[in-house]
Amino acid sequence: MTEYILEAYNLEFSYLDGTKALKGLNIRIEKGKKIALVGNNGAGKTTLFLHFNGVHRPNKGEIRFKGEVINYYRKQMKELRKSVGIVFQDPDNQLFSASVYQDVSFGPVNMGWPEKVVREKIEQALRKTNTWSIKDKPTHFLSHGQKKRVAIAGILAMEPEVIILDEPTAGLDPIGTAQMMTLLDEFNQNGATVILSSHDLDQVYAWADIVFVINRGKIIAEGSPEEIFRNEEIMQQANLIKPWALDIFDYLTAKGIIKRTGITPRNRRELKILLD
Amino acid sequence: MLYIDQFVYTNKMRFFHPGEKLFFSLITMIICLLINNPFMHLTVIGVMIGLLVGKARIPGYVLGKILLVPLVFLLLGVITVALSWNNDGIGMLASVRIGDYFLGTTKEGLMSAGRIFLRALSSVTCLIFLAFTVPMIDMIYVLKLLKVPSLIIEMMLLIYRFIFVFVETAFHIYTAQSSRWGYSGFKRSVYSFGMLFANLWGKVYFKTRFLMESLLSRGYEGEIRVLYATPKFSGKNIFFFVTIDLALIVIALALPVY
Ligand SMILES: Nc1ncnc2c1ncn2[C@@H]1O[C@H](COP(=O)(O)OP(=O)(O)O)[C@@H](O)[C@H]1O
Ligand SMILES: [Mg+2]
Repeated sequence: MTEYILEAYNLEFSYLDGTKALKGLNIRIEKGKKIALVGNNGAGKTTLFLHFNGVHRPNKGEIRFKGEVINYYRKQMKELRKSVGIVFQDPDNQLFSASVYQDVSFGPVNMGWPEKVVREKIEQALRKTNTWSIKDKPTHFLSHGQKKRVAIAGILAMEPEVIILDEPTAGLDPIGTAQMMTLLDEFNQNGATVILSSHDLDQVYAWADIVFVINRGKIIAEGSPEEIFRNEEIMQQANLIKPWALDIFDYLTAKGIIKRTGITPRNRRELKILLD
Repeated sequence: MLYIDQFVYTNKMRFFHPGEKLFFSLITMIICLLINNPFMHLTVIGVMIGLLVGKARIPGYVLGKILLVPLVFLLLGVITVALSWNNDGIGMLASVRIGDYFLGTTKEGLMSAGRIFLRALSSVTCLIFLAFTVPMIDMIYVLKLLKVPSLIIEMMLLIYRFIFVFVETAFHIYTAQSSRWGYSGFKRSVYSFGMLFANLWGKVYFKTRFLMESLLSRGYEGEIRVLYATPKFSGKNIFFFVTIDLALIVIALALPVY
């Protein structure tokens, strides 16, 4: 039986100004997977993420964490926020302290761990994200990519079971993006469920185990990257463009230039191997 | 502050314990204020500038620029002390006649102006030493050690961080405006500046909302609790600072006051 770590049923949510951001959304997140949420700007990705650790409370519907319905009581909230960490899209909104070290310490201190443990977690998180060397720099002198990594360290230090990243590669250069994806793979290999939203469908296609498509406040499709990105109807409905590796591969097989072997290349390298 | 900040974080005395630097600076300043000895004041100015340039490696021109501001103010201030007037011009080193009076300066006037100038400048250099060697982050840490209420600490933490966010935001808006001819004349400039200001507040409002969301998601419950990178006190540094202060007092006692 598949184990779902996060589930949401019939989620409805409106912002104070009346904008309906989620309109009866259903989603189930499998434990230990690499999950991508794709969809247009304004589709509701960020809003959904903020529901996953209780920052927003749905007007209707329910959310379950490890099968348990979230009731928004303090004790459970604390547990939820420890277990589900969100890395926000704009690190400037997340880094509240000018000191890298202080900022990263915030989450673990809130967990109520003893100081010695907290300091260990901070060091581990900073080293994993390759930010140990900049821990004494003020955040306002860091590059965008460095800020993002510090923001991730701040979440990592809490050792969450689920790490959610809102557009983690937006604004990063290609090398930065590649490093980010490797880092996320590492989190996943260490047992964390990783959820990200992204507009970089080539990256999503290469990286994800499961892809969800969100459109106007609803999940309209779920499946493996191949399934989703080959579904023209869904792609059109959500205004998405097929990842190039898959597109070229399908074109080449249709033309008979490559034989179908059951393997679908996920990236440049895999496609080239098939062509050789 | 924004300008100084670039140098503060890379100064070579950065990793001295901030408490050491704070106390050194404050105690030296108190010595300057309590003991009136121009030689000692000169020594303090020399020591502070020497430490900043020689030990903390703050570029001389940066220090010069920063020192220029208090220097100008002090000079303007002490001019009134140096000047005096009487109705015969006797005893003045130089004077001009204005009507029935002579406006000029006496030897005593000059001396006391010089003394006040040195005393004030030496105190100012103590503060500048502090400003250049102790980054705000470390300062907040010392305040915390000194048991300043956590509400004030939290405010300082957030304000200091967000000054930079605001300035950056304002700068982005400004660039966006000026690249579209927003500051191409007086009227346009006034208008654009008004727009900048109004929009800045809007953006600030959203920033604070987003910040709140991200704090909540990391377990915020009404108090910002953080750990500080703990610098260590060093006997060697304390000895160094204490020696300087003792030497100052010796100079003050040994050299006559004019
Ligand atoms: N604080 C807010 N107040 C009002 N409406 C908002 C707010 N945040 C987002 N929205 C609206 O909710 C919808 C979903 O937004 P969001 O979840 O941010 O989308 P995404 O992250 O997929 O781009 C959009 O229509 C957006 O304009
Ligand atoms: Mg978003």
